Amino acid sequence: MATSPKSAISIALDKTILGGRRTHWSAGPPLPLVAASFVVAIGILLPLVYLILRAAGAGDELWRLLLRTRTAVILFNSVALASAVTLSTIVLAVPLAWLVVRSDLPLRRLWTGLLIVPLAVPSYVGGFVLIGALGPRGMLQSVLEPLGVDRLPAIYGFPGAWLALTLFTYPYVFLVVRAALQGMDYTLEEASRSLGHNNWSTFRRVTLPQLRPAIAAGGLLVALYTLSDFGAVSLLQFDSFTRVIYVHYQGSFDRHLAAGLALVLVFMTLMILVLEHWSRGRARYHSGNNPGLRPLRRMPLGKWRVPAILLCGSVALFALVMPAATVGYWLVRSVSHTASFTALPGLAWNSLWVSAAAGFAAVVLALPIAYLTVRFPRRLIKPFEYVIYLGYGLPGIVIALSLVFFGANVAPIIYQTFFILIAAYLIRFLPQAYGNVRTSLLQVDPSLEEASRNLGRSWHATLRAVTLPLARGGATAGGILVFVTTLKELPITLLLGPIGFKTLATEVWTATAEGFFAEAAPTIFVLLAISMLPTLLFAGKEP
Amino acid sequence: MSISLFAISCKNVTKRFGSVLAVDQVELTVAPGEFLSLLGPSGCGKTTFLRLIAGFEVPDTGTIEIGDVCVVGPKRWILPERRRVGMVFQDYALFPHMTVAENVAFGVRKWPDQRERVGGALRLVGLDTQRDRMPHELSGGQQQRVALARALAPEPDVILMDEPFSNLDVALRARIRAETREILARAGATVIFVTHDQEEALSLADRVAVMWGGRIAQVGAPEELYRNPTSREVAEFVGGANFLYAHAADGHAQCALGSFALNGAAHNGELDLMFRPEDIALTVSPDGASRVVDATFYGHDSTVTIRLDTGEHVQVRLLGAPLAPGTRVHCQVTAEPRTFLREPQAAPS
Amino acid sequence: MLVNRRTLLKASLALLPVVVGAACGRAVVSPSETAATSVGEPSSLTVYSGRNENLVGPLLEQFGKDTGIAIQVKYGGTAEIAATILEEGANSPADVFYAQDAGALGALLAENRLSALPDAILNAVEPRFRSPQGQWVGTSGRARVVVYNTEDVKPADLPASILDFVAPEWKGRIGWAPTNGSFQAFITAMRVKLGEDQTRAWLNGIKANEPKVYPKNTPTVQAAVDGEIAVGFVNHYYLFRIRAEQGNVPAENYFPPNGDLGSLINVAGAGVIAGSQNQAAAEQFVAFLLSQQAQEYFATETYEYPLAHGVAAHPDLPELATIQTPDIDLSDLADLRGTLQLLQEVELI
Repeated sequence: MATSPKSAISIALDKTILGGRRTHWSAGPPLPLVAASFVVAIGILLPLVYLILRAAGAGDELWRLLLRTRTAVILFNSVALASAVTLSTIVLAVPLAWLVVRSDLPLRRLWTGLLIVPLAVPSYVGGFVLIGALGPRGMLQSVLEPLGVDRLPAIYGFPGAWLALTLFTYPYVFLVVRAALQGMDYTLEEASRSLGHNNWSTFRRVTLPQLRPAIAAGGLLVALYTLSDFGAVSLLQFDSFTRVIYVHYQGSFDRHLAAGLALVLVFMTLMILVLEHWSRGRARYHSGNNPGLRPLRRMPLGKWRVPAILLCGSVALFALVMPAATVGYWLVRSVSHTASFTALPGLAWNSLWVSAAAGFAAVVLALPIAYLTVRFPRRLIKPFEYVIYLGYGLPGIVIALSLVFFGANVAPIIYQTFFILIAAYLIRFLPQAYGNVRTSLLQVDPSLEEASRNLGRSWHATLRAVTLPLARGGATAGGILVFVTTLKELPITLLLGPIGFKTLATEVWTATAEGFFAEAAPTIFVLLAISMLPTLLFAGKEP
Repeated sequence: MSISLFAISCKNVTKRFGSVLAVDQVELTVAPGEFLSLLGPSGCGKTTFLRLIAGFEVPDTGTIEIGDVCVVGPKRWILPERRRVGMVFQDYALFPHMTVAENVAFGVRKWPDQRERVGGALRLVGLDTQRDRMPHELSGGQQQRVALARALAPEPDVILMDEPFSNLDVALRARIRAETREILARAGATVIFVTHDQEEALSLADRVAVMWGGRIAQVGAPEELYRNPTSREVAEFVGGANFLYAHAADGHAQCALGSFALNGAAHNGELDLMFRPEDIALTVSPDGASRVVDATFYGHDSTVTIRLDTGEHVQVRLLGAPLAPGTRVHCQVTAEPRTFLREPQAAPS
Repeated sequence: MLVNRRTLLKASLALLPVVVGAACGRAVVSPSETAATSVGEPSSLTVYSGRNENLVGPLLEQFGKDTGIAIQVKYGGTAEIAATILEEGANSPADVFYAQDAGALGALLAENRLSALPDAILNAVEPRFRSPQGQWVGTSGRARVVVYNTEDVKPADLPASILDFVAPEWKGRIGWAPTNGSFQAFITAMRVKLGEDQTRAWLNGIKANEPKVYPKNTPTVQAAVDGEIAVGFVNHYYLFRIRAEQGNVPAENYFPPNGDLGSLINVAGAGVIAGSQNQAAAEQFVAFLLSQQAQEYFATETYEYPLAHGVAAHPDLPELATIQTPDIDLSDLADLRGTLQLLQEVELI
């Protein structure tokens, strides 16, 4: 017989160096994509430029503020909260996503829709809800009082902020992981089963590692959201860094000090990005088997069916039913019956179209950068990845004010138009689309794109005909995330919207800010209902 | 088909990945209509070379011409989609979101005769009844043929195939190979075919290029390559090879299996002689100087390992059943051996 | 049946002049007085309002209707709106800033973004409710009060002064909102009246009583209503609003008597943006806020203190004249910075 002398060294080379290089397009990244990425990056860097300009005016006062010990305490608080919330959302969302995609859980699509809704609960409403439901004299307390429970564990401070943010941000991880599960090659799982691993061991050793980029992307969204959240931490009395930034805007009207503090947040964002980069791992995630639209085989839950339903149910109970019940209670408790319905259709339409436009635009703009970073992970392109997340770690007020500054003074023609409003949404929320698009692009085998080029299609025709259709799940998930987050966005809408432009979110704020909770109730219900729309619309088209 | 004398011409093509020289000053010409196998072990650079031709990688130096068009050279770069090169990928790279017909139509979309071409290509590979199936609903062999039909539909000047049979099971492989060869012959295509399987390369190709460490070690017709390998590596890679120590003097070389006349330049001193396993005949004899030490049965043939009286081992191929280990045999050489310069580490103990 | 709150407010607005009749005070500004210059011109006005639309929306719409001026309003938080005007700089589309706090007006004043108001407008209110240099004017007032849960606290148990809440019996029973603008104004007043050391001592004393910290007034009052806290340091009108929505709740306002610091008056006010293209309409608008109609609206609809001479406060409220204010400029940012530094020093913000 022929003996083919296989050198161990040459095989290893083929797999690591040559294999890793397979993703490179020879002729370099397409210039239009690079140009588009540059434009996006410049837009996202505007807030940073603004912050540096403003912080420069702060003087010694800033150093005095930064160097006091309390700054370290608050920084630690923020980091601790972001870590805890990220961890708990992952623990919660990964099993949920697995259940709705890969198991025979009944009513999967309904669960999917319901489990995404909590994302649309604005954190200033979520804070009120949590206090109203679980607070010292809240609903739960009054239910338990006859049973002799007269004191609940304290909701204020870290536990409350952690719970509120976990309940209202876990859908970030849920959506990203769900999209990744849909695009995953499950023959690997079958391979693992055949190698003697049971369900759990397969999940832990094959599925979970494959989900790593998705979990990292979702976790990043949660961590940065937590870092930049103001509503929940202020209502639940937790001293975070963003709260301190707001105090400087609101208390002393001092933009310079606030900007200096916000730069610290930028630094923290960068640290988190480095951490995420490291946690992604170095493996490639397309299997080469192009699972594509192969019908998914769902895992029978068997005796785990009831616990699975209980898990989904209790998450929905806390994150959805509890807010809805609390808001309903506001309505019932009201004696003035002043809730307004006549303005609702107009507000709903405003919210709907502006959020849909932001969601769509975010996917379109995230694509070039995601495509470049996935297919051309070169030194020149890497910085784009970091830049794209900068806006997301900053409080909304900072983004809003920086665009107020640049809009009014550099581009007055677009100032207070929908153009600048949506641009601001994008600067802040682009990462939500980016993370999803990137994750799903990673799952598209580059040899499919090569096949298309080889068959005479240009890079952009290939993008349209092959890459995008295959990355649709992630792109949709990204669009939905941006849509839902834009629905509840407040400071940007208030400050940058055309004069007189109102959305459901601004209406909810208007009502709750002065304590007209009953008046906010119907608006909140419409907000929650609209947030379910895209999931119900698009979930049907996916396998 | 191009009217030029070659379908593909590569000159001095080099590609480095970091410190690794993947393709090293390769010179290769393929004639129109020729079926050329690129044979080499994993990591020898053959896939990279294919990707350089297709335009998925840029060479560091050198020029590649397809037909009479220079597709890459100094200050010249033709995009992959303009090269009129068809490629069949190792994993087929069928678009999972398209039907069989849509996959095949992908390269001829909006062509005036799109329907006919898709129909023709599918008939050629015998899949015209499967046109509306999705790729995942097909068997591995069928997927391979869809990939082939897809590559053939635009009638490219050149077809590149990257280990297209490696994902098929053995029983299927031989049949699909023969079918593919016939389809390609009917289509009259120029083919470069990458494989690490010498049997596949020798049986399919008009010519075989053996690639080793990024360089083309030898190019030639399959039989020429098998009979007259120019290096020990090629000799070993294209088939079983027994190297025996020999001492040359006066135009003859003396080894454990006898004395052989040396052709060409006279050489005195130490040599290696290479015998193919089928070039040694065995005769069972109790006073034989050699002894069977190991035997493997393959069905229609078998391989036995013989220990010669010099202590050297040779492998011998027999038709039918093997001989039992311990059997004493006489060895007789039935074909002329090939001579190689000695390598120090191959000295007999 | 649910009825739109704003419809109700609008209806009451239309009735106001009828109910109040001709009992207008001498000093109330008539909108026509200042509008005289712009009569006949088609006019527009852009108001940036830090005051909530639910509170002042109907009033602003009424102004547009009465005058024919096309009024556009941008609503937002007072601090955010102030920062917006500052960032917009000379290109600001805003003509008027209608602020919840004098401090926000002071922030604009400090960067010369407000223009001087006519004396006719300034003189409608007491000097303590307007900018000493005449760039802004208070339009309505709110008193600092102690809201208490009537099931938890008997009126007799309430101390004579807010300073006495440092007593140990209030441990764990107090709620406050140190980041709130009105609270900070109250601390500023305390610093002016009692000095830094005593103020610091008071803050530390309350801190030692482990108060619950709320982000602003509404949740503080709600907490008192819910019995989460016994007493809260808030503005007077939130309780009225909660009563309007939730009916008779077990909470009351306590005005520490005899001009105690605990019942300090804070004002909402308005100023005209420097460089406004619609100066006349802007001044007309500020004058309107001090008109009989608007002042009555504040008294009856938002439960605020009317500030213009001759308009009576809500009958449930102690008279404005009985509430003392220390001699401070409510918009002086230097004072405010001192307060913030003190609050930072005792680690409350």
